[in-house]
Amino acid sequence: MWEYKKFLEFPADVRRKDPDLAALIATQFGGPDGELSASLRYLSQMYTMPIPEAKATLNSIGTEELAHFEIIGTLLYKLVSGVPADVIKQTRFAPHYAKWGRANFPEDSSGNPFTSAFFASHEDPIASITENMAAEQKARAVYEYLLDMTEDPAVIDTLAFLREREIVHFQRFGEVLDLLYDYQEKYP
Amino acid sequence: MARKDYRLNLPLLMDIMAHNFVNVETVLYLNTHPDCQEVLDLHNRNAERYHRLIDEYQRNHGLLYSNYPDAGYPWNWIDEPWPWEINYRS
Ligand SMILES: [Fe+2]
Repeated sequence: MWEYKKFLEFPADVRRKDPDLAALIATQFGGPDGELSASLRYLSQMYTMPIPEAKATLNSIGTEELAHFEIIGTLLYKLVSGVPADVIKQTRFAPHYAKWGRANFPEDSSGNPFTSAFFASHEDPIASITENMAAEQKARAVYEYLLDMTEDPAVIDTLAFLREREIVHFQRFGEVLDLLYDYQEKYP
Repeated sequence: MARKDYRLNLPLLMDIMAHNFVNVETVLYLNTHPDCQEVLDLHNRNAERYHRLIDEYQRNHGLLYSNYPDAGYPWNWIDEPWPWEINYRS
């Protein structure tokens, strides 16, 4: 089961309100390479993994991605909370506001809702772990695109932290892939 | 019993967050290197310190886990601020 710890994995802050930026960062809340997608991908795949290292890695990284979902949710909340509607009206955040107000909703930066069609969960462990390595690289790339979109030093710190985590996850999945090949060689 | 004046302690909370992050890292590493004694020792040392800090925080500043065995009356798990409401660099 999961238990909530009443603190963030990283102290996510913003220096100033910025609804335009929120509309872009939203893609890491509910877009194809976003944190919700990553979390559900790994937490769906873990059950049928053949070796304990793979089960544990998917369980731990899937859990960490949920903490990243919360970090992105925090950024979005801080970027738009208290901004008056007539200011929001002039921003890219206006279409979101028209549907949901200032509440967070898992969607991409164009407002397309989250779907599990964003990811795959295969019984074949090589297929799944290889998918995950690509997913981590795609998420890293998206964080780099987003880093190009802002000059807010607090937002930059947070996005840079999340970008680094994708690199660590890629590394760990690479180790799991090697362990899976060893296992398949031993028990073909 | 009179209500204790629980209050956010940001430096202590940030220290807990830092120790929690070390734990995230040691767990991920150990999952694929279960026989690495050096990181296992680091993990155990850090986790011990983490639990001491958590205990200090929950005794004096409010709940971080809802199953803390000495929760405050009235039920203080609901106390604000929630993690997304804190200004960490104020
Ligand atoms: Fe990741």
